[in-house]
This record gives sequence, structure tokens and C-alpha cells, in this order.
Amino acid sequence: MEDNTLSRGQAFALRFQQFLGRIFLLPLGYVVYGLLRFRGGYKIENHREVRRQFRELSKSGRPLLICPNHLTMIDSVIIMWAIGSIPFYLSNYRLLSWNIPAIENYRNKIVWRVVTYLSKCIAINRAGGVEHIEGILTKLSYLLGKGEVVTIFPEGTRSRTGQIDVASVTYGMGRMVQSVPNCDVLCVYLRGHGQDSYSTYPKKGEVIHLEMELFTPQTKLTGLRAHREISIQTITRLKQMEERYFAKLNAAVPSVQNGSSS
Amino acid sequence: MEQQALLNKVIDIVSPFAKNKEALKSVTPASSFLKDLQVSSSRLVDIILAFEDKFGIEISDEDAGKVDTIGAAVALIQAKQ
Repeated sequence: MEDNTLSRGQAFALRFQQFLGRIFLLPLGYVVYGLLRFRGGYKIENHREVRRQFRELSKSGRPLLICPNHLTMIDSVIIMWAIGSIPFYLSNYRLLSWNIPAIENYRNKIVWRVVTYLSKCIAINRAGGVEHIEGILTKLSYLLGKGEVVTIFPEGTRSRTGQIDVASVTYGMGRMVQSVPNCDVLCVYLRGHGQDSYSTYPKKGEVIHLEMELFTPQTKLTGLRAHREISIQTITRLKQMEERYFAKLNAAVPSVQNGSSS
Repeated sequence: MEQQALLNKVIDIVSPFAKNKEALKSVTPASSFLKDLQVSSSRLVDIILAFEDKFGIEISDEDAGKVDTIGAAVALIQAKQ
């Protein structure tokens, strides 16, 4: 088991960030909702069902790590909107996930720095070296251990091919799962129907497909080999979800063309 | 194993994981995995595990964290053999 202990100062800083985030959840949440819904025109396919599923899946109260595929810069924001409403997060604030946005995307944008801080984000500098990344993973593992939900993209970056590349998997998520007893992983596959490749935002008016699969990674290995094994288990599941998505899509195309869509 | 032979073997193991193929041509013991060879931190884990498999050694997580250059890798492998 890894050491997830933080200094008192670090733990206090996270609690303080959480406290401020909770205060600003209502105004900030509705601004984000407005941007997604009315400026972006985005819709989630079977939205009610997606939210019902998440309510069910999160009932156990076990540590929960969300592992999505990654195609746009706002995937984590879309996921949070998709799986829970603002009133839901007001009464279940721990289920609003912590995220690790790349600081290079908003380093000089003060408004974004404030907004991300208030939205349970911990900025990561991908060029920051092993120590910096280890520090972030330790904070996230600490939060997971405290019952908070954390989102981490197993691919590490947006997929350049538009599809999950199993070989590009990063092992940070495996380290986190291994560091927290009884940690569940929620694989989330999301994709706008018009999303061909990676992009900054989904296309305007996009209808977004989202599906989830909960599992508890198992390994008999230890140390780095365990981190790798768990990460590979996770990305393999995501890849299977992607294959099913495209299989369904391809199966639907001929029937729509024949006018026999049901 | 002789130092130069070990260095060559380490470079062979690292090569498929290095994004900067140009840097591989002029690699020295001081070459950094992350900055010079542009190996990602997860691929560095793959390299450490490949060292364990190829040289029949065990590298603790603590030691693995100290492997930042080709020279450090060679020194660690020599110490463990």
C-alpha cells in the first residue's frame, strides 16, 4: 500500500478549497450549465437514465475513481453535468469529482484559474517532472481515501487518433487504485455522435453518448507491476466499450438507410 | 558485465520507448530519460520493469524513483547484479 499522507498544510489547503467550492457551487454550477446547454447546445443521450445509473453506482460509498476516454478539453466538465444535477451535488458534494487539468491550457488566464480552483481542480504541469506528478497523485489518493470522487484519464492526454490507444496508457491511475483499499473504478465512455477526432470542444449542438461500467480491479502483483496491471485492465475495458459503441453505430447505419430504424 | 556492454544493452531497452529518436543517436550516461529522450513517466515504468526482467534483478519503488538518467540506470543495474 502506498503512503498517502499529506502534511497538515496540504490537507488544510485541500479542505479549504473544498469549502470554497461548496459555497460557489450554486452560481458557478449554473453558469457552467448555461454554457454547456445554451452556448454549446449540447445534449446527453438518455440523460435521465445516465443520472439514475450514477446514483445507483455511487450508493456503495466506496472510494470511486472515474476513468473516462479523452477526446475534448471539457470532457470532465461534460461528465459531471451528465451524471449529476446541481441540486444532487449540493446534497452529495463528495460526488462532484476532483480533476487534474493541465495548467498549460490556462496558465495565463486568471479567470480560468479561479474557476478551476473553485471546481475541485488540482492543476498538473505535465512537464513538471516525476516529483511534481507524484505529489499530485498523492493528493488525489488522499482525497480518494477520504471518500471523495476523483477523475483521471488513463490515456493521459486527448486521443490523437480519435480512438482509444491501449498502448498509450499511463499508470498513475493504477497507482491510485492500489493506494486506496476497496477502490472501485468507473469506466466512462463518452463521445459526441459527430466527434471524428480529438478537439478543444465538442461540435455545437452535439448529442453526446455516455455509458458507464463499474468494476473493482484485481491483481496479485505488487508495486509498479500492479500499477501497470490495473491500468491495463481499465483501458482494456474502455476499449471494449468503444468497440461496442462503434459496433452498435455500424449496425444502425444500414437499417437507417433502409428506412427500418426502430 | 562490462560497463560499455551494459550501457549498450540499456540503450537497446530504452530505444523503443524514447520519443526523441535523434537524441538516441548521441546518448551519453548523462542523458535524461524524461527531458532528453522524452520518455513519458509511464513508459519509464515499463523500462524499469524491462530492466528487472532482462537482468534478473529487483528494483524497489524507491530505487526506481532515482533512475533519471541512462548513467543512473547503468549504476543501479551494476549494483544489483
